[in-house]
Amino acid sequence: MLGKKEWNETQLEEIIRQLPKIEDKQNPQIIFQNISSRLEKKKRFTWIIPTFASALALLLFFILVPGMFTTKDLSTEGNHSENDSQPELFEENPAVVEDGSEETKPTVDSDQEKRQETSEPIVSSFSTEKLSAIYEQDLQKYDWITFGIPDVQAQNVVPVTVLVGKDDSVTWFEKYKQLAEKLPQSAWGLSEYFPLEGKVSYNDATEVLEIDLPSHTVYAQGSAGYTSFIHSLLETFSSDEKKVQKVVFSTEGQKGFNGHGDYIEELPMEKAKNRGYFLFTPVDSDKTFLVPSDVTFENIESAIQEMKKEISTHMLTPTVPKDMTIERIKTDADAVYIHFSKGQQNGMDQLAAIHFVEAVLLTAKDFGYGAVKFETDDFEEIGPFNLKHPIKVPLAANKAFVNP
Amino acid sequence: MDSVFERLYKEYHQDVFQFLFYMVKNRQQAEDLSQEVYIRVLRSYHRFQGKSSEKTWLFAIARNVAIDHFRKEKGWKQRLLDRFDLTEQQVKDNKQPLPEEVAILNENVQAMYHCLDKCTLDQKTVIIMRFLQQFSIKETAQMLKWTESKVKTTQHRALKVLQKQMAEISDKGGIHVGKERVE
Repeated sequence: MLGKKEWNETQLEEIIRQLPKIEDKQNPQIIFQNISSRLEKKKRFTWIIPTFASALALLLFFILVPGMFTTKDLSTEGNHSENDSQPELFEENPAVVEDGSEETKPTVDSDQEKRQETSEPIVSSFSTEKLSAIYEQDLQKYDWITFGIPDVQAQNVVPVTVLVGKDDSVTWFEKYKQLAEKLPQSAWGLSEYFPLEGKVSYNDATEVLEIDLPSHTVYAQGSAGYTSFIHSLLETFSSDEKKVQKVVFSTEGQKGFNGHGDYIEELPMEKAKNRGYFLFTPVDSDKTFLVPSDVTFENIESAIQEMKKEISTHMLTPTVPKDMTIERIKTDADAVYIHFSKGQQNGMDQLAAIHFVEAVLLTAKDFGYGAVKFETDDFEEIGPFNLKHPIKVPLAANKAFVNP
Repeated sequence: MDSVFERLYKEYHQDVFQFLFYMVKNRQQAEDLSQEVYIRVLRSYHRFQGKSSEKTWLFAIARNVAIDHFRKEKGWKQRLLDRFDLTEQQVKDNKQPLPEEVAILNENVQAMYHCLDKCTLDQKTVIIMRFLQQFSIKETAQMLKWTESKVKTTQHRALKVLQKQMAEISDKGGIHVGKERVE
């Protein structure tokens, strides 16, 4: 036995196969009871809302359709184009794509049944002009590039998304390089971080971004410098508009990079998940940003509850107004349903309300949901958002434009 | 009992449980995680169209549940400082006592049980799927949504890690690795 020093692969496989079978001795009845109580809650909820929504949709259909033949102009903001937007959402959800037969189903009944099952969100085509995040509508005119810019204290990495005129002939990497030179980062109250130090190149075929750093790079100075660098790279290059599988480091042409007490050769671009969004106002700046928390949360309920509090160590302030009562939050595979009331307060600051909606939408996106339905008796709309319908989550946070 | 649950339990429960157990090496956690697997499975069962086999689908979910579990164990910053991609990280050294099933086995197997934690999460997943669950390369690739060649490479690298670790343990004349002693 253990006296041996060299095992070949077959011998190793043999030892692994000798690892014992581990059995679960729990009673299946008890397992079933435990899971069914959790399942029941979900089921009830996911059926009620969509059934109601479908009934309402049918009713609207009968009211609107005759009108369409007589009235030309129905295309106000509130009348979102359901037919245009719904299939897109289906395409984005692989679980739903699997039942591709759905669209060809002949009867109205079965079609509705499918909607109840998937609780398909309806997407509104609201105006995004006054909003801070980037929404699907923006892509008609713009391309976007996200930069993860550390604040001056190197505590938060602020995702700023720059919109530029749509131009398919320029690659994302070209756009990234051009914009990196022009970001007015200090005017935004952030650190002058981009363009990155060293030489950055991108291989289209392998989707690898290479960074060759100088030997005394600022990114190796102190743990804060190093953490911000890594955090900024993740925030910047894992963003959806870029196609980067990993970042590969070298130092003056030699493989790898010595960070603060850590040697690193490559960094896979894994997206951060399950964070909550808070408000960040840089010192001496009147600009505010929606910034993801450093910590992650077990589920979206706990994230949103935490968003009522500040994170003073990071100068992050709440996005859920103090007076607001979050009554309950439910989720199904695609969407989050958040029931809330505005509380004692008579009015509600419009800007704070928009921050609340956008922070919840971005948080939902971080948790992998496609849409949020805000359910409240207090408002019918907040800013451009019509709360009657689920709102599709944005693409990215903190819109910015840069002077050419 | 729900008929879907009953059938899935009968056909796959012990396999899924064993997989989760070896991933987390903790019976209580494996019990919790197996319930989470059922919740995810039953919630989306109506969407399962049989494009992949049921077993493949179930294990793909079980693996995601395990990854989520490891993710939740770490704060965001910790993960950052720790080497970044969780699935390519070494599984943290396990401080759990040896389960009795393992403790009665010979030293080589005990050492192997310990060495599994020296693999990255992906490597460990492949080792468990291939040699403990006896899945084929093709099945493993489907469960992980990888190419077959990635499964082969990962398996090969994992065995290299295990080879090195096992040799180190023999060098030290037993299961003493660093300051830890697994008994």
